[in-house]
Amino acid sequence: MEIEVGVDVGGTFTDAAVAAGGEVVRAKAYSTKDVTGGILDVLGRIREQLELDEATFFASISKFVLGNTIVTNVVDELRFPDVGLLTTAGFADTLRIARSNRGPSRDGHVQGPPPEIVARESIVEVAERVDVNGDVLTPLHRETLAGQVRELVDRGVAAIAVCFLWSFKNDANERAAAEVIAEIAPDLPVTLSSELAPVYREYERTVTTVLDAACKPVVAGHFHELEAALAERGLSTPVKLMQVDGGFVSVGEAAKTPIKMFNSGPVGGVEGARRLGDALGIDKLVTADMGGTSFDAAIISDGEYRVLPRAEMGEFPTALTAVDISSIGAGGGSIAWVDSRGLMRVGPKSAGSVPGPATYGRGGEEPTVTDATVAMGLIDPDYFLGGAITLDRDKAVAAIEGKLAGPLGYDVDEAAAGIYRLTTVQMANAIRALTVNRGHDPREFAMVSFGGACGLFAAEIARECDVQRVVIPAAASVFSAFGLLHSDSIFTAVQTTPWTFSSEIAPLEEAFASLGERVERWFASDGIPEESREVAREADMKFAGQVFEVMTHLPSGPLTEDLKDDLRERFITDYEREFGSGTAWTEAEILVTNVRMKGIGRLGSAGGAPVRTVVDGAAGRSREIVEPMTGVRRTVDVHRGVPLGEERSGPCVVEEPDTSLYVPDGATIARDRQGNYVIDLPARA
Amino acid sequence: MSTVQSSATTHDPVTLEVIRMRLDAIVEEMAIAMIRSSGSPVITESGDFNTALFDATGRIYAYSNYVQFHIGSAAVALEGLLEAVPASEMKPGDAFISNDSHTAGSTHPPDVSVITPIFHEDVVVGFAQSQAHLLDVGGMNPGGFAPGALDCFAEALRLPPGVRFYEGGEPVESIRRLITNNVRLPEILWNDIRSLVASNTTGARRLAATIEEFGKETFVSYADRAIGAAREVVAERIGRLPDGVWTGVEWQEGDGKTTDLLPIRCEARIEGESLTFDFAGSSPQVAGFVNCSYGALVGSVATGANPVLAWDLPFNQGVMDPITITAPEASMVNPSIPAPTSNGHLTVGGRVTRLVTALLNRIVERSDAPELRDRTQGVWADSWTGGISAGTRTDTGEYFVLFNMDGGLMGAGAQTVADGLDASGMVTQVSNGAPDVEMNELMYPVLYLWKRLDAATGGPGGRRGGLGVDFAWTLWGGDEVLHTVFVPCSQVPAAGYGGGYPGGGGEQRILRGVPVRDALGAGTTARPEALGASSSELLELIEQGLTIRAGDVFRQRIAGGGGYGDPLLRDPAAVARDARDGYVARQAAADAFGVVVDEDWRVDDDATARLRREIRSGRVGGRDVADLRISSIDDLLDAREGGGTLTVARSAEGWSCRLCGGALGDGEDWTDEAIVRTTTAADRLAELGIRSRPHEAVAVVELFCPHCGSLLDVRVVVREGAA
Repeated sequence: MEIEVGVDVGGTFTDAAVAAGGEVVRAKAYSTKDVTGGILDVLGRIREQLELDEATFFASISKFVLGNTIVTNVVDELRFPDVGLLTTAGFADTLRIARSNRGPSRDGHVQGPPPEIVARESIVEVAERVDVNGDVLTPLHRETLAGQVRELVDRGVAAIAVCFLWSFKNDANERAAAEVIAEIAPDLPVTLSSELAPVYREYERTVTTVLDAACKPVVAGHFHELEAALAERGLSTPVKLMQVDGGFVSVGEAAKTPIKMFNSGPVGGVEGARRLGDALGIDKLVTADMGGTSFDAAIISDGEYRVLPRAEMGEFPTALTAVDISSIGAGGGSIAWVDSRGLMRVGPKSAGSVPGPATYGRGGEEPTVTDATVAMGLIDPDYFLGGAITLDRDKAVAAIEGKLAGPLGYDVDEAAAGIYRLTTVQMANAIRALTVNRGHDPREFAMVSFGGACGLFAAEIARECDVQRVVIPAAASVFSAFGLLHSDSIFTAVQTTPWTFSSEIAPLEEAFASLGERVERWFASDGIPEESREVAREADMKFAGQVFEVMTHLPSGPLTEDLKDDLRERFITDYEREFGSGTAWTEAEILVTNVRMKGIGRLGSAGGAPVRTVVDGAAGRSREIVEPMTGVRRTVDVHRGVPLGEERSGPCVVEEPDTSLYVPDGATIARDRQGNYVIDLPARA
Repeated sequence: MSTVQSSATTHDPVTLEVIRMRLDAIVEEMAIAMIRSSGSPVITESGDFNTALFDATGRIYAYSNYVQFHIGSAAVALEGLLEAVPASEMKPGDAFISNDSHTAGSTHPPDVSVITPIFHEDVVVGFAQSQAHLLDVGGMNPGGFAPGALDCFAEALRLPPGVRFYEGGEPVESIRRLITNNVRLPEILWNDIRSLVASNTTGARRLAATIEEFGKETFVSYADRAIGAAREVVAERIGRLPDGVWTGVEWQEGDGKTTDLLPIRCEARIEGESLTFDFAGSSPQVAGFVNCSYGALVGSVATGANPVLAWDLPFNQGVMDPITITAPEASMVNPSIPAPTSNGHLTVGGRVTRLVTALLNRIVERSDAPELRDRTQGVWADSWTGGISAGTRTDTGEYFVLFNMDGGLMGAGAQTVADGLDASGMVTQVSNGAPDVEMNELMYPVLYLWKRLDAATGGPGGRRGGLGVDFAWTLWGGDEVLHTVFVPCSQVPAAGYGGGYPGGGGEQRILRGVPVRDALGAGTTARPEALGASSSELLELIEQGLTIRAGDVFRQRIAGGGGYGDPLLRDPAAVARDARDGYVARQAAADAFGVVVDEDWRVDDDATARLRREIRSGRVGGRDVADLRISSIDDLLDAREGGGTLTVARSAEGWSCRLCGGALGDGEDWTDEAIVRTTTAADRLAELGIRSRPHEAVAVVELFCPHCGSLLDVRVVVREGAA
């Protein structure tokens, strides 16, 4: 039997989705500090379900993809050792000036600079300069630099980032700097901006280079430990790590550019939704992933998610290309409060996981979104995570009563329903912003909902933004792992290559040829079999005078002069898909800025396998709840799962061990053959 | 809480917030639609635009958090439109365009506004409005800033209210032809106008759907209530300020025709829950391009008042309702045709915001509400410093206009909670952004030599004022450019608060005959003193017709923000860090902050204590000074009980210094007892390491406690008559 494994290491839980014997099984375990422990635990639970001994289990694994929060945490918490930064002389304040990053608040007490990621004294100005054409104007003086590097090393920096102006046009000075560093400190991790992110805009490139260098010492060792632990148990296939652009690479490749592991868990979720959409034949879907502190949404259209340049990581814009996931700071832990107008607001402050919502009984006193769902009876306090964690309903009620209902002159039901409604509307607004602004009509979309608390909100969020179908995947509780299980191996090479249609196409093709060599080298080094290899060519293009580029798919073969018209049309099609028909600047010239080549290794065979289910049917219970959008008390049916092929009508609550769903009045819920729940909502008048 | 109690009977507070969130989401969606379809770096990089929704009578429903100036210009534009074209004559698919400062309230002519009526059952129920700074609107100067203009007719193509340029959702071809024929970059301009239309289309569609969803009557009633809720909070806050009259004056540094300092006067009056800003006595309108349109005036006042009275409120008309603004006609703050206005908002407008900030400092410091007293702050530089270069590239032969958005990299005023933001933009520029060096070098034939924070600009204080930026470029791929410059804040600096000193001023220079290639080869281009220029021309504050050639270097230094509290109260470790990082000169660490820093950038505690005492003693003529009860800015901020100001307490016995407890008399004002030192600003600030362009009329007045020598207040004063 062949076994394929997807594992997502989150802050609290480590999830696994494993394909074996024609079905997918899932499990959850607590994450551990060393990462490896949690992974072994969760695989142990899978093994129990498959009834396999350890040796057989590990020996049968043919694909092992890991998503993790190590890098996400490093960036979010900015906890990393001191990094040195070499920058072009005259520009040491680039990170501090931060392109005048004021942010959107009118409150002078909130506006602040982005956090410092390199101590100012560890930023070293290097006499060197390359211009826009790639000409070296000031060659690097190695002896001078050697002295500067020695000072940095003496100061104890754990890694060095090198980001010079226009280095991606000519990397001679950055390479020379790397050589100088290697002579002085051969073991010190170094990141060159021209290697990591060879695209223009020095602020984002500097941020990205520094964060990457900062992650190197943190990540080093982590995965080798894991590989060793797994190999010891008989794993023979290499461990692969998920990347921010939606594909995975080998441990060795990932360690070269650790920053690309940022957000790899949520990316797994989007990849999972894409696979699910493919399997269910849905063209347009929007993902809704509600966690404790954030709500993430992404669009998948015609089987593709958007991959966006200049991706944001934590508080920083970066030079990386990443799966386009919109995130708002609202989740189960968001705190409800009364503002200066005497009106209720929800978020952006969160109770986080510590102390967490009041109902967790771990010292939280502020009323949160989770507290509202408990107070309203949507969550059975004794059946949260199948009874694994007991919730305290009285504490939830007390927090809402004391901090919200009292001051507002509400009863607890009204206040709790108010929290629910404001949360729902915020999330619906976020989804609307995503769909409407890309020129889509939300009515054409289905929503795929996953993540902790989303099942209780998904149907009402959908109704708010005119989405009529919600799919809650059978593997919703471990959906990122499910996505990882199904993902492909992807390597992306990119190069800024300014080009216009009035010039010859040869230089563009030359750029692709050099990217192609890098992709071929990766195919070989990552051991992708010939028959699994695919190559995709893309270009970031814009109309002359615009600032933002739109990614355009190019034909996969070599570019020749006669393909120019085809290229132009492809861009206009992609542009109008983004901004709506008739928006193209038909009079303007079209420019290419970046060219990109993706090597894809299509590995694995798990696609389409159904997810094993454990609960089937037990109905006939009922419970009094507060109807979320109205605040009215009523008694509704509570189903422990719904049998395959059957349908239930709302209002009702459906409970599974690892997730709870709320189905509003007028909606129906059923399960498809793969075990996914489908909620259908009536069209709004 | 009063809001809910008075309204709960008719309005469900949750629905109220749901509708408010929807309106805010719509104006943000409009902004995204504009940013993503626009070609202009002014929009996409610097956020120099606004989006808003109005009701059918012209009240603001919601306003996005981009440039705050347009709160005024948008409202005046709509008011003008409704006078020119009654709503009953508007049809679905119409859109109106305007940019005239005099008739349509535009901040300045390049700020083009598009207004789209929104219909529900064939009746106008509201308006979507978008306004952005477009790259060129015709007139005598590329880029729309025209220092040489004698009147508004020379400045731009002037579109008054009521120009219906879209009908049935399609552009009116004749108007498109008229507009594009009068501008230098017709394609780019028209594309940008399309992005304004796209923004409005998004807003109109979404608002109409929202009204449909809630029902018109319910929607209007709730939207009114949202305005009422905001009004009640601002009115209640004004009610917690003492009744009275405060007067202040700011100075415009010339207008390009005269170098005189031109007064902007304001009387702020608090009567119960209403606040009036009366600009009577301000300079009559002038011949140069610094006249501030009425729309820009309203926006500049809103910009200054918002962070002090409405920092936490979703913005709508209610925020402005308790505030009245009056200004004499044909004055520099409310000009009439034919006054030129193309730089009124960045110059006089910025000064208006500074004046409102300074007046509100003096008002809220007397409030019994700690959250309002906490809104005192150093004054922001508000000095958008212009460098506009036009020429032809030698490589491609293309004509270009570089309107350098680096001009927004000035310093903010220090806050109670933090130092002033470096490179902040003007107060009005929420969501400000500046270009990357690589961005400018890719788009224009320039090579930057440096771009760094300027230590000579942050106003010394317990909290330091924000720093401005110092940058330089040389032509790279161009032989020469025609260059226009303006520096709004150079001689009359941004004041500090509560004993904080003013920030530094800006300046521009052209260094001629620089052997750039040699300097590049030697790797010395980042060092101004090593460039080997044959001459260094200090430019006038407003100048046009300059020529910069290959081998010249243009250097721009931008003003910084005012400090907060006596700099001797600043944490010595923070001063040492600033010195190490190059954000305060080593000498200034000692002279301005009284901190002695050793070779390794460590604080010498004993020497610092001695030096700080010496400085206090020096302030009061070398006498022995009293010990301090409070010696850090944090402790001072925590010590504010009872009446008085940040530095001076008021009790039944009279005034006393909060730092040493020494009595300051029981007169009308404590200043009678203070030791006062008046010095020419440029001289005094130079002693503290801060740059200010010399002007004999501009003085710094320091008020010291006679007992302990602490700085109780620092004021920037212009000796009238000498201005």
